[in-house]
Amino acid sequence: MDKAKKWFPCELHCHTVHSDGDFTVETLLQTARERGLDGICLTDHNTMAGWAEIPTDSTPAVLCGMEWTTYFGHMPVLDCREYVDWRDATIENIDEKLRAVHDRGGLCGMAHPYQIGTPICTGGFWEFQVKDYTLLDYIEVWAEGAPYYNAANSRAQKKWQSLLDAGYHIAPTMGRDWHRPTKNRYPTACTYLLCPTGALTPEKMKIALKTGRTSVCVGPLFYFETASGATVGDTVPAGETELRFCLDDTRYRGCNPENQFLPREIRLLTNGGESVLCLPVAAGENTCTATVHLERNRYYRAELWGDTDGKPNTQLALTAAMYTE
Amino acid sequence: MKTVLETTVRVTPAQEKTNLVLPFTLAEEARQLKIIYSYAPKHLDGEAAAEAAENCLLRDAGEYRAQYPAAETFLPLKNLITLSLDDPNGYRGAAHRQADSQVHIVTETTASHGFSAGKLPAGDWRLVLNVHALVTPFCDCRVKIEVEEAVGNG
Repeated sequence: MDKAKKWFPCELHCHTVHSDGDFTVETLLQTARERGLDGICLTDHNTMAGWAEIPTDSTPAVLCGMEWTTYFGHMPVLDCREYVDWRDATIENIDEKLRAVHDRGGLCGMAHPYQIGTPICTGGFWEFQVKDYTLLDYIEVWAEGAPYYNAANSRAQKKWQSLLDAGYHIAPTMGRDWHRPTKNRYPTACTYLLCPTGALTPEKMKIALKTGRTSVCVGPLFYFETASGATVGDTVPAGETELRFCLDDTRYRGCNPENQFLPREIRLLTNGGESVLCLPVAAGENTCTATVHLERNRYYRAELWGDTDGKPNTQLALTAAMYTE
Repeated sequence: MKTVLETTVRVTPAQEKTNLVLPFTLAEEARQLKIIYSYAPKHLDGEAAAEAAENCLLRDAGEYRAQYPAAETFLPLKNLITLSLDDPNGYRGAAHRQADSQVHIVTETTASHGFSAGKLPAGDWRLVLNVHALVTPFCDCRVKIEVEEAVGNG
């Protein structure tokens, strides 16, 4: 891997007492540190009140945001210079709102798009009719629990795939929707962000999300790269290309550490979800290489499958996409 | 302490997913703003609630309905009407939580959870009722805003 870059485990969806969480800002930071997270996004519902409590040079790094908790979808807005009003967002005008956030330097994400909505979880189901998806920076393809515990995650992944198929470059993320220090109902996961080495900063997190340098994993870090170090988020030339798939089990593990984690198969997928490659993973093997003919004007993304938490043959990780010229 | 707004607003299901604006004016810069808010009823239970929950699950889970628990698991259904606040210069935050009785205090240096501390300038303010869910035939929202004026303002 490019030595100037490193993958940082992050939790991109967190709440505190400033909305409906039990964490104070301080206990959220403390708990994130204990879980080995290098970065978090503070995304309280409809408020920025918690931002003032974040220490300068906080560890973990904190990218400040607000989860727009609207009537038609939940949308994390990150690092927006000026407040943009969430209250008059409608199914039809959402593009104007996305544009207003972007004009102010902010990022927009789609949170748990298939959560059951009003009145069970108010506004939780994404009804917004986005016309220009270049305005959307990331999608929570996994929300709350690891995918095998949350039916909505398979739908969110399909949505993301359909947007890749339509030619949009959008980062996949995991959002734990973290509200309190007690365990979530389900084993969880995290989003790794690829950033320049050195201490993680909010700005680096933002750039990683914006440029699609993400990998979503229930356990050890999983990613892939070319022999020359190009990776997800990059656009590479078409043609015969050696790809290296890497597992790093020394990194943060979102699930309970006592649970088994047995990677079995790496899959490389392209447009339409078409399978390009299936590589078996031998026990203890951390790197697999393969030469693949990359077609022009496509995307390539990788998944890791195996056993964990008593679930055989389940999805363990998925990377963002690499694109070809 | 001066009361600048005291009202009861009856909200109906037709107003679900809308904002009800309650304007008020501060004649002078204030030292403290106190918002006393409650609403009732909070819950809907029983057959009507189970039917509404099932409809919600069918609508949003669609073909995946079988992967979710029985509608009764999600009962009682809740009204959710949150408060957000704007001063003459912009947004001051929101209290997005389920409590049906809340008191918020905002001053220049401190603020209740969800709101930003800061000066309380004279001018036109707005308290906004954000009607996220209205599951009962109606819901009465009681709001009182008390202001402590700045020293020197009499």
